[in-house]
Amino acid sequence: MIRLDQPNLANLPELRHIGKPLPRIDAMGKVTGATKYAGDYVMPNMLHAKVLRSKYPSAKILRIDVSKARGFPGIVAVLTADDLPGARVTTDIPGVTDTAKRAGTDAPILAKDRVRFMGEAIAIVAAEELAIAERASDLIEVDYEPYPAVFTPAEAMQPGAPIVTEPDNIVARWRIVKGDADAAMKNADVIVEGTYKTQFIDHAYLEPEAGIAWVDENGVLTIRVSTQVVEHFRSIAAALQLPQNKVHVMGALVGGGFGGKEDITVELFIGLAALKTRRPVKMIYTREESLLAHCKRHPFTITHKTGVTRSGRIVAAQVNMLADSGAYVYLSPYVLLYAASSAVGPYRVNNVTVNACAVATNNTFTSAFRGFGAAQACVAYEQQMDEIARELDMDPRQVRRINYAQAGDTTPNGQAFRGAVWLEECAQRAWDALGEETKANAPHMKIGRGLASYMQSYGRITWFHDTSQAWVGLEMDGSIVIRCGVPDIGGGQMNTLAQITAEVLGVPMERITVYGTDSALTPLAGTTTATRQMYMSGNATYQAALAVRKTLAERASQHLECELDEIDFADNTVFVKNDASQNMPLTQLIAICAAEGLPRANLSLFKAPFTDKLDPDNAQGDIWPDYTFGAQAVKVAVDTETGEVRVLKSAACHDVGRALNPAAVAGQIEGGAAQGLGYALMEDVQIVNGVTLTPSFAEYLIPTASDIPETKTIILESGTGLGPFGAKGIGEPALTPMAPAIANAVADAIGARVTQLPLTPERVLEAIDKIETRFS
Amino acid sequence: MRDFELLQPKNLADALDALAQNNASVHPLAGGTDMLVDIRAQRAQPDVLVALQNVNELRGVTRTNGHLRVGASTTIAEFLKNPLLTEHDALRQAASVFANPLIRNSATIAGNIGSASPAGDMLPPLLAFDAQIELVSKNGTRTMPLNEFFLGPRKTARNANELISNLQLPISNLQTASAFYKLGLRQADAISLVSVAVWLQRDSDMIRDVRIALGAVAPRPMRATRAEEILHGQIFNETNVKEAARVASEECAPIDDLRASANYRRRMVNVYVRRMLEQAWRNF
Repeated sequence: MIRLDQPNLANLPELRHIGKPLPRIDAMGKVTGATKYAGDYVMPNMLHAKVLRSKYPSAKILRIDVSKARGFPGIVAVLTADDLPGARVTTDIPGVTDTAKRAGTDAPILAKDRVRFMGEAIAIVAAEELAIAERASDLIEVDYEPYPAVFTPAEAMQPGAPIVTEPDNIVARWRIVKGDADAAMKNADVIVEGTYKTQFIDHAYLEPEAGIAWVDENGVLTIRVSTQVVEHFRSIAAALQLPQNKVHVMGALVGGGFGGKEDITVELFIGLAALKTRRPVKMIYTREESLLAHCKRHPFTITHKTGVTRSGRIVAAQVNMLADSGAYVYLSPYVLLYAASSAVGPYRVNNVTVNACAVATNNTFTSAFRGFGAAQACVAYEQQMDEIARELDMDPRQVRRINYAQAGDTTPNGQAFRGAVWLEECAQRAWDALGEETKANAPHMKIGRGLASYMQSYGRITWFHDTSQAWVGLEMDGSIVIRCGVPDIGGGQMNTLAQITAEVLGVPMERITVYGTDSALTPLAGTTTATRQMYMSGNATYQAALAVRKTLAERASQHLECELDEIDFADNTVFVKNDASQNMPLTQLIAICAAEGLPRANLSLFKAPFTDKLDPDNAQGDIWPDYTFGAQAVKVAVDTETGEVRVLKSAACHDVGRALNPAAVAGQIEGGAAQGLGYALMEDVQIVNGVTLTPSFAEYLIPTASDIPETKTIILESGTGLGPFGAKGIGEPALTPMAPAIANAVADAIGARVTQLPLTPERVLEAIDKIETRFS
Repeated sequence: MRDFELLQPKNLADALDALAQNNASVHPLAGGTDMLVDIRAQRAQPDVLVALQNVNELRGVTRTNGHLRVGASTTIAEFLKNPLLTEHDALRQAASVFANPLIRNSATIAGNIGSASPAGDMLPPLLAFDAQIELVSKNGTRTMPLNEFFLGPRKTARNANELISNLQLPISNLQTASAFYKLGLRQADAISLVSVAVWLQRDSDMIRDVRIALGAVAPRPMRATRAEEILHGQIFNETNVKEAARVASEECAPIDDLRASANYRRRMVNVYVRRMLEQAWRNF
């Protein structure tokens, strides 16, 4: 990890805790195995539940006979759609203040008369033992009648196609118009066209979906679950027809989210079974179940038509996007918006038209995945930048330099970049970190280098009216409690709050305890999605800690007889800045405050910028609070006889505004690069005619340690982020540029482009064949 | 997961007694790295598993009378440690890319053979070394060329009452060399798209003897005998090597599957037979 301060560019003050690679508060438990995940919890009298899933991608259900299962020894409950109160779950985003739900976005909890994808839930069995619950599929008879199906967006859009989602399979459309792309295209010297395709991929977290539900002594349905969103308690309440205050969602430390635990997973299955049986019910998806039946990343087909001048300046862009939303809507409209809005990447393009469409099929449903559409967009726009360079016979880095957006430039939606835009700096540093150009050591080997720049929003859509709350309080012994309903999905979300509070109140990290991820007992902090927790809950915690500090400092300034702004806090002590001999232990100050009834705690709400919805005609308007920018560079070796690709070097440079904990930031960057490598080279949920051909980790390949080179991480700090201390989000951005950087490096090596991810050896060899045919 | 009975005999005689019921649902269990996965996925449904980890008679690697005798329970990890094994390049190279270190510590050579996957990583090098397989039952022992043991995908010549007891490799270090490559979709823990093992015996510029074995490109691991014939007794040169590689790619019978097309596999046989012949020759 290299960390570069830029004294000329950002004058950031030296701090005591912020900016230090402190060991994370959750590290020891994870290293020793002491950490409890949702699936580790057991309760007396607990039942085990399994879901019976559809064997067909598209069928009518003629009959479900559960009589054999109901009488089977050890089976306590069998639930089908007939037993459900509401029977549908909203798939819209929780906490959105716009109460008008999109039509038709709800999914059934259990299918009643029709299944729309293979693996759709049909029945729940709760049993005394897991082995008995697993026999559900032997004991429940389902008669199916195959129903016409569609398996690609193109088929699904044909007139007369079987309808998966009413009325016409179109799940969402966004049309963005900025300037006049048609007219400007005529002024271009060269028009470059390219089509780029991405695949279904799986989140492949270590911890599959898991939870345990019970009805507590007050009649509250309580669900301990692995989730990115404890605020699903509202949609759980709606689906089960319970008051919102009768559903309590408790999270746990999450063994990886990546967007896969953003939607509801097991909550309703175990919630229903607990309500029915009045006993605790536990469910853990098998890996195969997770691969088959939880959401995937949207495959996109993205077509670029870019008009450029001979000198390399982009004058117009027309981009079409087609995404496969699978059998249910879930977050597709928003994923599509992220993609559409970043269609041309971090470049100044004054004339843009984007037409984006998400279409329902009988494939596994698709929803959130780290990068959330903007990653798919980057796969396309960064390959297109290299193709533009090739057409113009220019260095791809030069074409980027000519077109990089600057502070004040706008997205296709007309939203201005308000903070620093260090695209060129990031690209240069990442590229330089690859080192000297090297030559291959065998005639059949080719070495290539590739770069990708990106922009990725952090914080949620600004018309969702996003807020987060945190409570910070001092105990009598000078230790600190933070209460904030943040789900920690492994990115150090809770640690960040501790580190901020340590800085503000001058208390070491080990004296701070964080309570998070509880919908009833911790102040609601919103979702751990959209790269928002450091920004949102970090600010809420920062505000709360500052409020506590203000009260304490005022009282301390009386006691130490100095001005308020002379008071400082460090090492459990309050002191006068220029004369540290004038001090008092923090505990003494707390005791004084307690004796005088002064508040030693604060609950604070942080509010993101709120905007109106986009102009329906051209989608103009602000969408996100801010963006993170950066670049990824890679060096690859390609075997031109076999198509095998090895990534030899990886270097990433991101402007994170301010690295609150540089070790945690580097961890995100390294992990994002590794996940992006998998996206580029091997990960592929192959769904053919609605059937998943990669049902386990024997077929669905993610990179191993042997596939992943060291990623040199270069952290820049412009100090212009909207998070505490000028920080920007890095969770999703870390992944976004890796796949296109690898695609560009492979194209650089072999002189031809594979436009479909993943770049399997066979596809790479086909691309090489095409050049050889051209020359022969 | 279906229930099964687990027997843990302490010696070979007890193990053979357990298998003597001659019932197809009684199955030996070695490292378990295939069997337990298959049971969980309901691909295998044995009633009784006879675990072999306590049967000392199946252990050990010895070298006598020009033969290397490899006990059935030899783990894949031992092929990376035991000097009697590591001196054989193709075996060592196959072991080094076999699954992952955890699996290698548990999986045994007999288990890999008994599973009889066409893509079993250790099988091409064993064929290239012309291994003989010894089978033992209460009725006695029999030995056959390993090449005749594989009947098809997951089908072998082992009778239900038999155990694989050991392998015997004729070893002549005189002017021999070997090489192995596995092409997978990632660097570890991948199922082969194609694997190639070659063994050469040299006589100055001549190839005195040669064996070429292929994995994952036919219903069973196979010897490319027509390709071998092209090289047998011939000069080692580019023309001969290329021709042998081409013929090997013709005599294999790969399929299209989710990992690669048959055409691609055929082409890779061509590339890697050539490369492995060249690599083995360079090792002299």
